[in-house]
Amino acid sequence: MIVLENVTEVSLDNVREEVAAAIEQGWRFVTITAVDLNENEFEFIYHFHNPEFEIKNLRLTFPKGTVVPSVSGVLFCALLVENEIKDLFHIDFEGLALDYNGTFYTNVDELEEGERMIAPFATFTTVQKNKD
Amino acid sequence: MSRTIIPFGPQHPVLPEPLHLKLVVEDEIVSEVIPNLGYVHRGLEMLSRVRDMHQMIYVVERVCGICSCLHALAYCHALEKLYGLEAPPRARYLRIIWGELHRMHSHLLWLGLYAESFGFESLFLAFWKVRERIMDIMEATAGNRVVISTNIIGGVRRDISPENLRWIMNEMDLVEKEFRQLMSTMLKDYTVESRTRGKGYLSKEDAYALGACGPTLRGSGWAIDSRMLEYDALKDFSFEPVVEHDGDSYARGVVRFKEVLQSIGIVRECISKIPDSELSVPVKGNPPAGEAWSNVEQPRGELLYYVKSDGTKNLPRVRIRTPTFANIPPLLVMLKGCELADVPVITLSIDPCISCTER
Amino acid sequence: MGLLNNLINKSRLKSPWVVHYDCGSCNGCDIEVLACLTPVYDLERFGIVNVGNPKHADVLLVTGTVNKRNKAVLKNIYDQMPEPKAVVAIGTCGMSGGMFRECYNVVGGVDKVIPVDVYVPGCPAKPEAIIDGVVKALELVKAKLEGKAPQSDAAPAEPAEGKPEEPKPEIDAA
Repeated sequence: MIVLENVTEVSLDNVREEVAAAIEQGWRFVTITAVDLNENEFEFIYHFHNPEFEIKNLRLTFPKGTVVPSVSGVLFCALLVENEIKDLFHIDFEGLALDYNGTFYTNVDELEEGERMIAPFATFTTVQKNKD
Repeated sequence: MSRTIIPFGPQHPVLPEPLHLKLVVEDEIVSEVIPNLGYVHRGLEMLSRVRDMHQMIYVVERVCGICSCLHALAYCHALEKLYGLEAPPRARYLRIIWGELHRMHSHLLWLGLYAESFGFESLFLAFWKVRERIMDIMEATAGNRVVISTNIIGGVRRDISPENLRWIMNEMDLVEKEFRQLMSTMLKDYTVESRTRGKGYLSKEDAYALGACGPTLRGSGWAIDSRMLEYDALKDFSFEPVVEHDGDSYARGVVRFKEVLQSIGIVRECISKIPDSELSVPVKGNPPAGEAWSNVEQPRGELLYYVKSDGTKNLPRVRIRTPTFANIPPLLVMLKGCELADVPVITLSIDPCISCTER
Repeated sequence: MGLLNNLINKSRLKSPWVVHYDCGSCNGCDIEVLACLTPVYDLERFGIVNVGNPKHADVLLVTGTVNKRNKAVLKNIYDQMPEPKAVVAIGTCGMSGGMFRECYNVVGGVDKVIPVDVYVPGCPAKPEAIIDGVVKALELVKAKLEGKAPQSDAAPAEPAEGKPEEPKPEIDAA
């Protein structure tokens, strides 16, 4: 099985420190990928590059419903991608530098107070059509 | 001092695309910028669960119509990594030829819009006239002007005949001649310099720390270009990225000017060295379970694909990191403290592609 | 008054102004709309000018699918345009939602929000087809001026006749 190279497992407690340490070592932040692993778990992959095009990944696995510490405090440019994840996966972040409250992409104007949009990436499954 | 909020977009004469910025203005100076996205968000990453992996090529091409060929290329690279395949030699050359043609037409398009953003409309028309030559090449070789759909997993779908290759060589000479005339017009013009020099300054440290990519990063003095990874045919040539050190809108324009000339050189070199071989290798069955990461240089910067497969024909996750998404945080920093009249110029200097950003 | 009206109507038809709104398109159709204005295709030989203000425009060119956020913007632009007006939906996405019709954030074609007069097919639509579409839309504006076609007021949009409703594929929010 092919997997990403240079992956370090991190936990919810030390993700902020690990990201700050990677920036300190001269890595350039690329993006965060959120993956819906199964019914119980999500996975975040923090991707980094350096000018020699080496790649560094931090893998964070956590149970659904957890509030994840935001890295936008140490890394301003992670703000957009964290808001995107908040919209599409309904994962809440603690300490977002600029919080769109779930209106980054999806529109919540039509919803009632307290209600949330269906998080499309986390809950959508496909149903095979019956061929008549 | 009076504080006003001015909306910029989503329907704006300068931008063909719906980007919406909320500008907080004190007198004429922008003090804060809040980007407001979502006007083009379709959610096509989700389609990977509905469409199979071969159909997804045509979906990812429509992430962005301007650099469609390179989106398909990055996606095919990721899947080829999963399968453990490599495209045949001729296909590798054809991919680079089409990719560089896309870069040229994208940069020419941008240069035209950029000229229009400071009111130089005749220059806009002149750039787009040169661009039509490249669109003709696309139409003659692939059958469509914009979305050409030539890449498939394991190779390319079409060949370019020897007559057409010779014709492209001739066209490249004409494009270069016309382009060099426009280049000297624009870069030496007093008005252009005064509208762009020193506007939207991004320091070398900021560019790196804020995750900028593409000409925005190279305009600030970093020699980072994904083509240095030497994917496909690029490993047969020596490649030097274009770097400018000023970090302002003018420098980012110069980077793009020089990259067009560089692309013309790469296309010429590819055509002169193109080997003979079959066009694609057969792909059998579903991709093996695993995850892959690919990196391709788009006209706007580095394009990254993360693909996760679970062994079925549908991919459970396709993640697309597009260059404009990375260039928006630097834009927010650049816009802070600029004059309101410079906002269109600075916004365009990162070459925003909103349909890429929001997918 | 009759003479002045005639003059205005004549100049409307001889020099129609278009406004272009990108409504969730992939840029493919947008750059083809802009390519129409350039020297090779040259829309201006028909007197057509691209303007930025919907209040000045006679024809609205819409590219791309309508999504949940931009449908209000599209409606707003349409409402600002003075009568008589015509709407041209460009590209497969603008006609029906195209390959994105299954996406969660996509409402569908342009005709779900505003009445559309001319559909231009293609992915992306070619400049020749777009010019053809605009010229067809002008015939419609002419008919409206002469009272042969009903004015399109801001009534709630209904799907155009003969165009069956696209069924949404079954995607369950489980």
